[in-house]
Amino acid sequence: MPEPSAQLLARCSRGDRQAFAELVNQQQAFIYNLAYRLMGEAEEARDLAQEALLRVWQMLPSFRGEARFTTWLYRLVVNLGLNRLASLRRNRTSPMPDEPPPAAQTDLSADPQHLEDERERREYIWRQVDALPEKYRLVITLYYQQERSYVEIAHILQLPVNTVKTHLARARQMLASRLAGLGEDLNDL
Amino acid sequence: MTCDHIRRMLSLEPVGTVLPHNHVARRHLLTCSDCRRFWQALIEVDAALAARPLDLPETPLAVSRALAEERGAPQALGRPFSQLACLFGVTVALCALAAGAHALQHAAAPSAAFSVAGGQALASPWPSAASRWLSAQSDRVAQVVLAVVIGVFVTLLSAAVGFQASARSAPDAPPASEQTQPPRL
Repeated sequence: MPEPSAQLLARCSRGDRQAFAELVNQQQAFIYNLAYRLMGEAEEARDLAQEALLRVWQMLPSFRGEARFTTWLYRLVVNLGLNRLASLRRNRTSPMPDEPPPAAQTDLSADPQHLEDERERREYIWRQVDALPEKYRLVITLYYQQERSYVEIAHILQLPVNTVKTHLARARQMLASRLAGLGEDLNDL
Repeated sequence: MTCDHIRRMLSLEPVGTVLPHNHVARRHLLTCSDCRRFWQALIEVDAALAARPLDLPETPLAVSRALAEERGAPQALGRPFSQLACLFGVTVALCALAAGAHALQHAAAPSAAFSVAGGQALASPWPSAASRWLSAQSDRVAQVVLAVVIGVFVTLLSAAVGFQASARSAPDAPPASEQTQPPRL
């Protein structure tokens, strides 16, 4: 994820709309993606991303630069998203949507069936991520997709670094168990 | 050590590890096919997650002019400006009152002395005495009144500006709970 320049942020802070549009173009994919992982629905994610951008516009003058801008931004999105989830009072039941696809073949030939199986397995894993509890989903998204370090994730989620590591390990364990067909129930974790 | 323990240990291995660093887990993998399958799945999970594309909005997020205008100049400047102006207005008004009180205290003595010495003021009705006193002190009274009026005017003006700015920003201001509440994880 690109870190916006200090100059761009300063222009945005002064109320330069063109600069802000540039900042939005630069960051919107990452904001939306995080919002989507958090909310689980495109419409909700869109609303959350818009709200987050509005807050960024309003609160940017108070951004002191003590943390990286993107860390500050993610924290804002996460806080808004969690508040939104709480207000929606959505009971996210997380049933396993489907059974694991056929096991990956060790033969790495490029035959269409193998490629199709691989794609299927990958999509299966992604769907499993969406079914994880939000604390794990967030850590997974921030670590793999947004490429944040443990320390940054800890800062964004306001958790100890070791808790972040534990969440990530538990999430990986759940996903791998499901993929291997070892039947670990998400609700047990 | 059970398979469950081993799998927990394996999931704590750094992302991208091909061969577990933990020798106990490594030895266990040689004998347990389920855990071997788990380990292969873990590697596959890491690869799949790292390759997951970003979900993008179908259309770009609209940052309309209306959104941008939410934070205009009055809002950006309104609050600090109105606070300063309020402070200034109150200070001017207080200074004016203090100065007025001081001036009146000092002005009253010679006037009273003159009245008593003349022997007329005490006998005359109070409106005419007050009128005479006011005409004698008219410059000072005018200064005090003017200062108080300016102070009150500045205070009211700044309060109006501050009110307008806060009314404009109120719908978008995040609730206190959102600002201070840590993520509930």
